[in-house]
Amino acid sequence: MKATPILRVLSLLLGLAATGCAKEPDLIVYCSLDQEFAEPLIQRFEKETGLAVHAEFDIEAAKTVGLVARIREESKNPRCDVFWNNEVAHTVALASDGLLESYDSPSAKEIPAGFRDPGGHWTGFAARARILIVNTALADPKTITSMWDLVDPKWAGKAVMAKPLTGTTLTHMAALYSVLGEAKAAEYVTRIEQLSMTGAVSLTNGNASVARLVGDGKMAFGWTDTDDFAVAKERGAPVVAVYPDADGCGTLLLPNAIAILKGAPHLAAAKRFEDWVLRPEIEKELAFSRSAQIPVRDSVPRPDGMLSGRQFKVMAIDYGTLGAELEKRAELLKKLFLQ
Amino acid sequence: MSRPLVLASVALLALAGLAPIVWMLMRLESGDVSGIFDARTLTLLGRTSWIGAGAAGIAFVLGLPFGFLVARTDIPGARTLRHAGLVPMLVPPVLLSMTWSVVFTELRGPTAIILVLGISTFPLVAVFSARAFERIDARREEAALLVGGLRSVLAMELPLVLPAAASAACLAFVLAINDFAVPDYMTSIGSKVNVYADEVFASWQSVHSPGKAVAAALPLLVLTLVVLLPALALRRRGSLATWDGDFRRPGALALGSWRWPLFALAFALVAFAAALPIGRLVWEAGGGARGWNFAGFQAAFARAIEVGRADLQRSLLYASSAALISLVPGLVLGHALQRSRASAWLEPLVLAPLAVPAILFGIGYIALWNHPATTTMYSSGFLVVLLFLGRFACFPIFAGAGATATFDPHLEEAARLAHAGPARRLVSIVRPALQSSLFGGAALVFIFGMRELDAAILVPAANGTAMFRVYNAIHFGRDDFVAALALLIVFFILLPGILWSAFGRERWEVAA
Amino acid sequence: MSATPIVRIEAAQVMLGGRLVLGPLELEIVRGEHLLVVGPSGCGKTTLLRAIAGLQKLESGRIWIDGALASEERHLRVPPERRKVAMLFQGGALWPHMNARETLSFVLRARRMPSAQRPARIAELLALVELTGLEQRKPGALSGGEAQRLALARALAMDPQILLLDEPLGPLDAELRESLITRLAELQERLNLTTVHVTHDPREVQRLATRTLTLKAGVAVEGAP
Repeated sequence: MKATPILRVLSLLLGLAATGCAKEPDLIVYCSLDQEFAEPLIQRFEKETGLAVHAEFDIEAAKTVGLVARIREESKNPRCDVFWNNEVAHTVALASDGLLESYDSPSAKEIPAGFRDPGGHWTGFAARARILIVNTALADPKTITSMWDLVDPKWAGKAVMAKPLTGTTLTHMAALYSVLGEAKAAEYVTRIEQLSMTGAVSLTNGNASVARLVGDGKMAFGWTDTDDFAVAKERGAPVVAVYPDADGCGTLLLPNAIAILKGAPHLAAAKRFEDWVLRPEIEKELAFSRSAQIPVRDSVPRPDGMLSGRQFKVMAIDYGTLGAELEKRAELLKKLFLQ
Repeated sequence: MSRPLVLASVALLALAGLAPIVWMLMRLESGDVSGIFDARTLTLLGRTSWIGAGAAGIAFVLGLPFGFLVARTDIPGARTLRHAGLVPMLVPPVLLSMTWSVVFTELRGPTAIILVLGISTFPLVAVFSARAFERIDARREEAALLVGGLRSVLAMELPLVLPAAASAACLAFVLAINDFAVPDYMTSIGSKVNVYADEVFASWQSVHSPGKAVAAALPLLVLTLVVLLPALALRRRGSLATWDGDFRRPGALALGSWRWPLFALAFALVAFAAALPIGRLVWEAGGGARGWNFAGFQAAFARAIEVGRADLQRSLLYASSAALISLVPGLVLGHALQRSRASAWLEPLVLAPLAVPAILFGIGYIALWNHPATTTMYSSGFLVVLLFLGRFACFPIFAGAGATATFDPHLEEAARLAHAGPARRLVSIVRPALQSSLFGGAALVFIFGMRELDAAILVPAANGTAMFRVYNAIHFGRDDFVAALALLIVFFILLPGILWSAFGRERWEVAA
Repeated sequence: MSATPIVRIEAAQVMLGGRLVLGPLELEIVRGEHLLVVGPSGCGKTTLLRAIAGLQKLESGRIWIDGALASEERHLRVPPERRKVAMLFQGGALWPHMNARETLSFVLRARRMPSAQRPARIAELLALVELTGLEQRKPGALSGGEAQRLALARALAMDPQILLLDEPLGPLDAELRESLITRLAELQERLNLTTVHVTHDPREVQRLATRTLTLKAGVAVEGAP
């Protein structure tokens, strides 16, 4: 076989690959909200504003670690303008490290202060709640009311959660240290770890798997996010969502967080995008989408059956503290759970 | 050997595969390394080693005989089985896990992990072994046949094939020890099994101690090199030249009364390892548990093509570009590995990009390329091609080395005496003899490029690849769409091989 | 020499790549005979050897070996390893990873010779072909003549009743050719081997031949049956 045809084909392929060097976009967005939901919104923004947006997404398996690592690595030569995170803790950590621009969007004025960075470096919206998904064929939801049910011996082999080393589960466990105190939180996570070694509590690779296992009847209940619960419900699984610890620490709400990167190459466009995303209409759209994100503004309409923050006890958490302690808690949980 | 060509190929390998690693290693501080070995991490490493060894063992035990059967015997449908046998490698291991855990509901725990990882990598051993068997001259085989039939043929040929098969098993080990998705999934119910790759991934949360995350990856790299040593030792046991200027291609060996039982075994392996996951994907694409229907199946495919077409095109473009470019280092460095005294240090360097965790490799790319001077390159598809090339070039390089081992050096010497320079000898004398092995290695670059995810998610342009789209969709339970897109990916990976088999011609001289 | 045919070929034809390369051929080879097969390149000489060895199936016709039907139309009644046929291939076809001792040991083990007897037999065979002292050498470390003699020793290790030689003198210089011819003559006499010897230069080996078969375009033009 002669080399010439191969060289011709190769030149063609590399030329096509070079099309990655296309015209510079007007805005670059890194988005860890699922592509299925974010992409149509971004395309609508492009249509309405005439700005060309290049969006890059994360995948569930990377649980934001991928995008956040990229942002940090790129900080010396920022490429991204806006970081749209579907969980807040890593964004807070970026703010703590001075990697975010301060911007007070006019669209955010009705967003409660608890969901906004005091310094204006990030704004929360469209939240998910950490709930216990319960299979009604295997357990009476009225008997599952607290996080401590997960480690109750009577549910041995029937309780499940995601491994708390990344994602919202990590953030959740980290939050418990703030609200319960070191000793109580340590007791909880240690019990979970011990039970996971025997299989009394199962640890999955993510919240979607928790929802699937409970929905399929392989497990009775477990920790997951409201968006994963919504998917299970849509599938027709006999599940309900329990917002636990109404008499205790309450249910953790984790908002999406949008932020502009310091040194963003297209600052004006970034602000326009943030203003557009933070509008109540977008929160409403996300509420009615399959991902069922909970509006943080009470005034935003939501589907029937979606609870508002007034209808369950919201965990009183300072997201700033949560983000600041995330790395420390991650290291601690890693040492505990990876054995 | 052509020194300029070797230097150029080493430079390419260094740029694409080693520079990102070195860049990351420069972040290490003395305190980082001392902290990585404690009882906990050693336990994880030990467990990971067992899992890796088990997976490599299964890959070897299944792959070597399978490669022999489909490449060299008269079992029915050998060609079809040969293609179908690639499928387990084309489907991401975690999707394989999902399939088997549904069909075999009690399949869990360390045994299940080893089984899944072993079966997903046995095609590697099969490909390498098949090539090695095909490079044994017919007359040498017939000489053994006359001595003692098929038994003597196998006894004579196995030592010749073992180095290639062992190299492939080593690669299977590397892939297994770097996988954390399969152990995670297969122990989602019951007792949790953690592996060292979990430690590496979780360490990237230590954003203020970047050196720690890099240090966490070092044990896997060391483990890989330790395992590589026996494979290297096997390769260097003297000349195994079976391919000389008068090569006679061996024909199909008649299995006699063993033909149908062995066919049944090969078929069962393919059914279990390939047909089952494909069947499951077909079932999911058509509606799955909600009830299978053809209209739903069509709709899923229509949506997969509509939504994923551009991603699929990009995946094909990047993977095939990387595969084609890899032919050059495959030939040059593969030849050099076998002929040169430098192979002792060159071989670990060739393997290093595959041996390091994907996240370290990917972040190394960001660190290396995200500068004002290289911004355009950083955002372009070139970087994805370079990443695939850097990470997977070891396949064609090892394939080239294995093929060179069986190539009679006298043929090169004859050309040298005829005043042909080193580059010309390499291209005109060596290349024709190596090209089927090189194409096999390049095919692996293509396959792994198509299914690459972990390093790719960190590189901008790789965001628009098909596998990225699949994993994105998995979360929100678009099972039919995920299944349809996964099937499309499998089909497009298999297509070149099918076309080659149907229309490509082997150019072996056959003496009358 | 006995007159009993040890090989009988009846209307044999061989097709390769859709082309008739041998036959129709009628041939009888008598026990103890040294049959020289000559003819131009591509006339089917090697194909004939391979058909007798069972390495090539017949398109039609039959081959009997020692009174037993060995090959018939597209079917091997007796597999190659049971025909008591040894072959010296063109180029030697030695196994590159085995030294001289290992090569012979491989054959003797396959022939189920008890391990205690093997060393003596190996020594005997190596002495027969004047390779004593070179037991540890692999084919790559042997000269052309030594490699050819090792190939001959390997063939003799199989204790054949028929020895097939495919241009065995090809790679040898004049002195070595003479030496090998002398050796073959001695073996012929001592072991009463039946030999089918393909060569493109019959002049050198006329003194070995009891009969010459000339092939042209796959057909015998002289010397058959």
